[in-house]
Formats: sequence, C-alpha cells, structure tokens
Amino acid sequence: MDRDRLQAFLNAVEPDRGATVLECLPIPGGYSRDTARATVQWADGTTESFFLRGDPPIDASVFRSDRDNEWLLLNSLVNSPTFNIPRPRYYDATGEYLGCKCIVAEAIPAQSMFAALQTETDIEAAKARFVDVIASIHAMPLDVLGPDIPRPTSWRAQMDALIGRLDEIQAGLQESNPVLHYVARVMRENLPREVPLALVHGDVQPGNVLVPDGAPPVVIDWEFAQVGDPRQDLGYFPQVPMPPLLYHPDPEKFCALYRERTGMAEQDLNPLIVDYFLVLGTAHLQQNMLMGAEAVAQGEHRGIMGTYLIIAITHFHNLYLNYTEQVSGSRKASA
Amino acid sequence: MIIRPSTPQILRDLQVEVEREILPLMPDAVSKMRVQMLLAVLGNCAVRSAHEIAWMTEETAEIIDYAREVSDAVGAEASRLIKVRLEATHVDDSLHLDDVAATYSRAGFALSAALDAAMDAYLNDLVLRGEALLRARVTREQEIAGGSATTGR
Repeated sequence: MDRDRLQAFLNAVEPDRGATVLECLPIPGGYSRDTARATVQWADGTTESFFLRGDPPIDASVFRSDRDNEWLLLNSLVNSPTFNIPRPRYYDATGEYLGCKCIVAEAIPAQSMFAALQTETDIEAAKARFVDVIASIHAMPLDVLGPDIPRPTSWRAQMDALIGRLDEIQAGLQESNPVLHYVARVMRENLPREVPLALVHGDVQPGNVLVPDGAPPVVIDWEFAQVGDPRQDLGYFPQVPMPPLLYHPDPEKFCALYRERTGMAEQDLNPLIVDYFLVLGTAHLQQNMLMGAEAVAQGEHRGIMGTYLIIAITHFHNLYLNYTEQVSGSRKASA
Repeated sequence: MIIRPSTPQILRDLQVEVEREILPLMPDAVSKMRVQMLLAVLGNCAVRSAHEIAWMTEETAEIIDYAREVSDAVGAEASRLIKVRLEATHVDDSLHLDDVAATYSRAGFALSAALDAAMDAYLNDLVLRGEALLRARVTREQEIAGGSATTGR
C-alpha cells in the first residue's frame, strides 16, 4: 500500500485518467487493518484524496475480517437513506497491485467525532449527536442490503450464534477458560426479549464517525458490520476506554436518548441490557484476540498485537464478570 | 544461576533502554506506536514473571478445594463429572512453568464443571463462591496488565 503500488493500481483501473499519486502515507490508529491516506492528481488537473484499507500480513495481525464481504457491504450502504459513508471507489480484490486485498474509498475532509470531542464543551449535546448516529445506522431498512449480504434466519438464531461464539472460542483454545465458560452460561440463562433485527456496525465509536463542517456525519470502518440485534452496538460502545466517555457516568441518560430516537421500550434497553450486550457485542474481538494469543502460544508470530492485546483480553474478562456479578447480585438480593 | 538482576528487573531495564534509545529513532507514528505497545508488553511480563508460578499454584489449590466442596453437595451424576475433572487435575511437584500451567488449565476445567453443577442445583452460595474465584483470577490478570487499557482499536 505504498505510492508506487497505488500508482500501478490506478494506472490499471483508471487507464484513461492519467493518475499521478502525489503521496501515500500510512496512518496509525486502527488495530485491525493497515490504513493509508493518498492524494492523487488526475490528468485534468483535479486532485482527490483517498483512504486505503488493506489486510495486514497474517503473521503481523490478530483481527480477521473479510474484505470481499466489506466491499459488497459498502456498495450496498452507499445507498443508505439514513446515514452516509465514504464512497467506495476501487477494490484490489486479489492484492495483485497493492500487495494485499485493499479497499480504496474517497477521503472525507473532516475530523472524527472523537477528535472533535477533545475540545467539545457541551458533552450532553455531543452525546445526543452520537446517539443520533447510532440510531441512524439501526434505522436503515434492511432491504437496502443486497441479496449477497448474509443475515440470520431469526433473532433467536442470531442470539444462539452470538452466545455460541463464546463456546467456539473455548473450543479453539488449548487451555481452559472458566471465565468464558461461566459467562456463556449466564448469557443463555438471561436472554433478553426479542427486538427487530437491524444493521449492526460492529465497531461503533466516535472515532469511526466523521463530522464534516455543515454536512451530516459520515460513518466509517464497517469491517465487522452484520445484520443482528441493534443492542450489539449499544453493548459494544461502553467498553471503548478513550475519554471523554459518553455512556458513563450516566448510562440511563444514554439509554433514554436511544429509546427516544428509536421507540425501543425501557424493558428492552436499559443499562443492565447494555451490559448483557457488552459481552455479545465484543465477543468477536475477544475471539480474535484469544486466537491471536493462542497462535503465539503455538509458536506463530502475530506481530506486536498478538501479545499486546492480552491486556484487552483481561479488560474484557473484567467487564464480562461485572455483568455476571450484577446478575448474581440480584439473585442474592432476591434470595 | 545468576539471580541478580531478577527476570522482572531485566525486563524493566529493557523497557528503559527501548524507551530511551530505540523509541526516539522511530521514523513515523505507526512505528512509534508499535514500540510503545512493545514497552507495555515488557512491563506486563515483568509483573507476570515475578508471580505467575505462585499465583497459579495458589489458585489451583483453591479451585480443588471448591470443586471438592461442590462435589459433596450435589447429586451423584454431577459429582461424578466434577471428580473426573478433579482426577485429571493431578498436582505434581514440578515447578517448571509448563507443568504448573498445564495443571492450572486442568483446574480451570474442574472449576467450570463445579460451577455448572452448583448452578444446576441452585446452590446459590456455591455459585457466588465460584464466581468469586473467577473474580480473583481476573484481579490478578489486571495486576499483570498494570491497570493499563488499550487505546483505539
């Protein structure tokens, strides 16, 4: 994903436009995909900026997601009537040119909501804007998605698959994990009420929302998106540790805002339900991180992430037990 | 063998060297971030190497006591399943890390079997005690992590 590779790629996909890649620089931040920002000048004198999102080498990464699926999804989401995404422009589906499977999307000239929050003085207003973004994702009619985008056969099937992921994780390890074993059981015994399936972003956080001046927000980073229970996103977000925190210290306020936007009932969305979905909304990350650690234990290399993210495994174990302790605390109180 | 500096001291010294001499040489933000992650891992290893054998040994003993207690409190079939796991958790005298870790892992299966049995039998006090063992385990994981949380994703 460097300048020369991008130049060769654009020569191939836009042979008549006379592209000149002015720069193509890696940018830090994400744990999952390699990312670069590029500026391109066309023969007519116009310039454009692009973001490149590519798969890092297997032996230098932990998180696994499918670029083919993401490309398909992005080409559906670009038609969403409820939110905006950067327009996907090109895809090197084989890595022949860019060195890895890589999606090239238009760069939006905007800072992220996370960056904007660093100088925000009205956190309550920012919280409301962020909830609006989440609600707009969940409001997207599912028929916008093409027929190739997989979806669960039912809400119950989705819940079984999500909880089953905790079993899959344990099956893939060469050691016991009594924390996950216990958490999976508590999950099964405390299934919430059904709500309609929706588009789930899978990594919803202010860092993945761009806020252009005078234009609606733009949602990026869809690699973990799926059709599922919308509360997966609401459970995912509170574990994101970077300040300023929008969910804590007033979880009920956050839930009330979401209920107000979506009409969801309080018994279907409250802080305890969010904690339930924290487990299910992050299980895919936990799976990737534990498999990365297991690979290291088996003598493989996964880059610095393979060992660094052991910290995050601990972080999630702690949050998962926080949930089960609430459940057992209620049991204790009612005994 | 040479015992001074200890393994944690060596790892902390390496942290200092990397932070002072190698981190400033990194040419871009991506490389700098990787080195900072490496520093965090070295710090975690320093804590872990100082305590891991003792901690796993202590937890294994507590788990065995707990699983035996649950086994005595539940029905025959549930008790049999726990005993199978307990028998697999044979504790030998080896203090080599791989041996201690293997025993600790087997004890984890015994803990899961015991907690399942306690939940099946609605033995709330024993469920809470099993959960407390998990909490103790995670508290030590957090001590190794040194209170650090990952940033970004």
